[in-house]
Amino acid sequence: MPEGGDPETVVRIAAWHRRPGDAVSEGEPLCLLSVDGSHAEVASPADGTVSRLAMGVETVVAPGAVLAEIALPVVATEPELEPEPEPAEAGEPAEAAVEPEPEPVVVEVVEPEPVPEPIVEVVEPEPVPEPVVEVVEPEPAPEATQPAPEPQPELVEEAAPEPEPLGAPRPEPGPVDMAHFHSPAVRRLLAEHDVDLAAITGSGRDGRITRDDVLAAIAARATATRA
Amino acid sequence: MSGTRVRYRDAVAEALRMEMHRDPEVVLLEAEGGVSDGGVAGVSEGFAALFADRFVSLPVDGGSIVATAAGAAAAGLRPVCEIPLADFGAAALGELTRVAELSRAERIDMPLLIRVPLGGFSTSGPADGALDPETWLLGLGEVRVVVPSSPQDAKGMIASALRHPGPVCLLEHEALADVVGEVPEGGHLSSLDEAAVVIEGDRLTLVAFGPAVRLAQRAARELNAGVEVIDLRTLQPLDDATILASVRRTGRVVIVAEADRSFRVGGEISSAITERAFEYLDAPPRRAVIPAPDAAALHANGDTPAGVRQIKEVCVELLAY
Repeated sequence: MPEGGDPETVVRIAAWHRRPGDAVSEGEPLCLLSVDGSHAEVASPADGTVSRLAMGVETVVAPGAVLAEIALPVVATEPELEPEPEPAEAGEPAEAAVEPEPEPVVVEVVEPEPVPEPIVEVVEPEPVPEPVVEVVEPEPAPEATQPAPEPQPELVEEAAPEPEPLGAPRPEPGPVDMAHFHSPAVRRLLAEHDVDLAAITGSGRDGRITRDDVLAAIAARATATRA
Repeated sequence: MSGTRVRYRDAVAEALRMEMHRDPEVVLLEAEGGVSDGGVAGVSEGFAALFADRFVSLPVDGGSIVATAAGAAAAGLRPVCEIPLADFGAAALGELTRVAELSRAERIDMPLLIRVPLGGFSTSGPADGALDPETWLLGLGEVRVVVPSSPQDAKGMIASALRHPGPVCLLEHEALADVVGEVPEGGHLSSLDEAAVVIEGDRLTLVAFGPAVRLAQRAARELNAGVEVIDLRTLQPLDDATILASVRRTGRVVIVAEADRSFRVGGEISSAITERAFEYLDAPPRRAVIPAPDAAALHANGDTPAGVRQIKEVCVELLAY
C-alpha cells in the first residue's frame, strides 16, 4: 500500500466487493478505499479466485500493505478449484506445490493518492511456497494476517482539518466539459432515436451538442433515407 | 364580438359597474377617502352615488376591512374591497388567513373579491415594506390569486371572480392602470385557472405575470428568435400544465422575476419544471431579475427599458447554451 505519499493521508478499507472464494475478473472492483473522506475503487489486477482478504473493513491501510490475494485459475486439465478456506495458513501451500496451484497474486496499493493504482505482484510459484505475507516497509502496517486490526484513533485526530472560517467562499466546482455534456433533452432523444453522436457537430456553448443539433441530424437522416 | 380600446383602470370600473347591476348581492367596501377619489386605483369614482345602498365606507385598516367583508360573504353577500397590501396588508393578511381557513375547514363559501393595488399608487412608499406582497397570499392555498395583465383580462376576471364561490385576490399593478387594450363590448368572462400563450415560439419559453408580461413580449419581439411568452394570469392555482407543455416543446425557459429572485413565484415554477419536464430540458431553467416595472418603463417607446434589456440578456445567454 501507498509508499511515499502524504503521511497525513488516512486510507481505510471502506468495503470489500468480494469474499474469499469469490471469482473475480481483471478490472472488476475488488474493494473500495476511503481516502480522506473520498472514495476510490481498487480493481482486480487479474482473473482468478479471491483466496484471502488481508484486512477487514475500516482497517487503516498503511503504505505497502497487502490488501488481498488472488489465486489464478488453473489451466485447462485441472478440475474446479476449491477455494481455500484459510489460504493465509503458511502450512497450506504444501498442497499448492503438488498441484499446479494458481499463483497467488498479491494485490498491493502503491500510492496514497486519492485513486491508488493497484500494483500486481505476481509471486512465482515456489516449490515450497513461502507464506504469502509480504512484509514491505514495516510501517505501522496492520499485520497482514490479521483480518481486522483495531482502528487507530490518533490518525483520525490527525486527519481533522482546520475548520474553515465561517462565511469563507467555497471553491466553485470546476468547469464542465461542455463538449461531452449531454442535456436531459439530448439524452432522451438519443434513447429514442438511433443517432450517431460522433457525426454531429455541436453548435452549443463550447461545442455542446444541443437538442436542435440532434433533431437536425434525425431530420437529415430521414430525408436521406427517403431520397 | 366587436371590441373597443379601453384603459385598464376603465375596464376594471366597467366590470364592477356591470356586475353590480347584474347581481344585487355585490357590495363595495372601501377605506375612508375612497368616496371622493374612487379608491386607491381611482376606479370606483361615482359608485357611492350610483349604488348608495351597497357602498360601505370603512376605517383605513386592512384587518377590519377584510373581517367585515368576510362576515358579509359568509352571510351570503358578494363583497368587493380594495386592500393595498404593501401599505396596510399585514393586518389584512391575518384576517385573510382566517378566511382561507373557513373556506377549507368549514367548507363555508366565501365569495369575496379583494382587489390588491400594487406598485407606486402611493408615493410615500409601502408602509408595510413589501414591494411584492403577492407571495404573502400564495401560501393561503384556498385564496385564488389572479393577475390580469391586459384590460380585457381585468374586465373578464372581475366578472368571473364575482361568480366564483371562494375568495379571490385580484392584483392590479399601478403600472398597468393606463395601459390601453382591446376589450370586447358587453360582458365577457375570463378563466381564473389558465395561463395564456401570448406569443408563440419554439426555442425558448419566457414566463411572466402582471406588468412584466408586456416587457417579456417586447423582449421576445426584439429578439425575434422563436421565443414563446406565457402570461401566467393566475398564480394560485398555478397553471403548470401550460408551462410544462411549452417547456417540453422549447427545452429552455426563462422566468421573469420582479425585483427579487429568491422565495418568489419563479422558484416554484422552476421547481415544477425540473421535477416534471426534466427530460425535455436542453438548458437549466433561469430567472431574469428585473426592477419592478413602473408605468414609464411600460410606455417607453424609444429607449429600451432596463427590464427588457435584462430579459433579453438572459434569453441570449440561454439560447447560446
